[in-house]
Amino acid sequence: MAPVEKEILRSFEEGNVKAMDLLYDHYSDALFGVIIRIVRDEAIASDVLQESFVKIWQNSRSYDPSKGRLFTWLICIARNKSIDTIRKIGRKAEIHLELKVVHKGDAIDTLDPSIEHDLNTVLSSLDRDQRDLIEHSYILGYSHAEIAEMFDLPLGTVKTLIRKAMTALRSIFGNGR
Amino acid sequence: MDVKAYIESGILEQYALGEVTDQERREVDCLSKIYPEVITALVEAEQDLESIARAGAVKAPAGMKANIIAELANHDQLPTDNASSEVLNNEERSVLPSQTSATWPVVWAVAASITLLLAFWQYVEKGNAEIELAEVKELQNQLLANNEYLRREVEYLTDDVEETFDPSFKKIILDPTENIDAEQFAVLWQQESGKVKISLASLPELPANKQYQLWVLKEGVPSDMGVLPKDFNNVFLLGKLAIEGDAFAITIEPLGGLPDPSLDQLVFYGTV
Repeated sequence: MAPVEKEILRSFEEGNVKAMDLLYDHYSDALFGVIIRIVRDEAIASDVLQESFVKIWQNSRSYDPSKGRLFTWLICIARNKSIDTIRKIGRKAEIHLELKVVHKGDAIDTLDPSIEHDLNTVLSSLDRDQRDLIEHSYILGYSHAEIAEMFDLPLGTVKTLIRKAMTALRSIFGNGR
Repeated sequence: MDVKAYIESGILEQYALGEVTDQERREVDCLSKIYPEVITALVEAEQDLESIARAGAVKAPAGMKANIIAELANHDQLPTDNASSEVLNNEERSVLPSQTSATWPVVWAVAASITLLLAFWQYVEKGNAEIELAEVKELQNQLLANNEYLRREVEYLTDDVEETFDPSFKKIILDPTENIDAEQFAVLWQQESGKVKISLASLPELPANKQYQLWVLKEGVPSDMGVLPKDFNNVFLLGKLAIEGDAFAITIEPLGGLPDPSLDQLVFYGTV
């Protein structure tokens, strides 16, 4: 576990809001990236990021590191808040965003310098079908059932294909993570 | 059970995304306690999710941080029990299942079976004409699922006992080093297949952020055999195979383990 994660967990336990300061510095860009690709609107994404941080803080005492990774927990909170939001307001059809993508060397990479890929570069290594599946599932926040309907495929096939695509991507991210 | 087919089905990726039904979640939780390959694949699925999030990072608007920190002043941390039982929903599903003693799932399954049988009996006893067939079928399905779980658990325990007496499994005694206050500890190794099994019952408990990690050494060069699950007090089959080696060692590492052993954290060592 990275030293910053230890400090965050200690602050969670102490009820010290400094934890959220550290969380923001180390994870906000990744979480904002998750959110904005689902809600597709910068103002809404900002609101969702704030709601996610409130929820993280409220539930921080019940986060248990022995049950799973901190970052995964944070991503799922941000993702679910985003999905809840677009269920309320409707999904925007097109993406009109100029994303200020975080490049390597920025704060987001300090936790794991081995991750040096940006999303487009990574996804461009997949074939078109695999890229579509990963984009819809992991990036745009569609459920497997929604993807099955959209691509007119059985749910089981969608699940298997997404796993295969992720396995292909894994070789790019590197297994030595 | 065909564990490989189960993993290949993509259910674990769906689990990591928090998109499984309650029944599927229970199934993954249960199987990940039984099969180490499932836990390994689950961790990979979580890492994939994280890798994509990192690769897709986007600068949050300037000034957001100050707004968020100010907003947090209006909210308190919720107590643990309240938060876990009521507030958390989907996002909790994606974290790794807690691994408690291997015996509790059996106890739970037996207790659940008895409860279900009682419930079923009460339905029949009442002679209620309005019993819906669907409810009875649901009860029946749950009973069958519990039976299947118990059958697998017994099969698994029987395998452990048989392998203990199987001459192709070597028993390697690991001695505690001065870094730990513990008894000797045994590893079962079937060199032909590379399978390694260990009983975790006697290992001292570690802090929440630490985990034991097993290494196989060949002429002094260590190879990672993976981390040992926390709070799992039974025989555990390692997810990785040890094809060759002349010694085994255990170190204490940060949660999730490290690619190379921390030699100052060596706690058990034994030669083949």
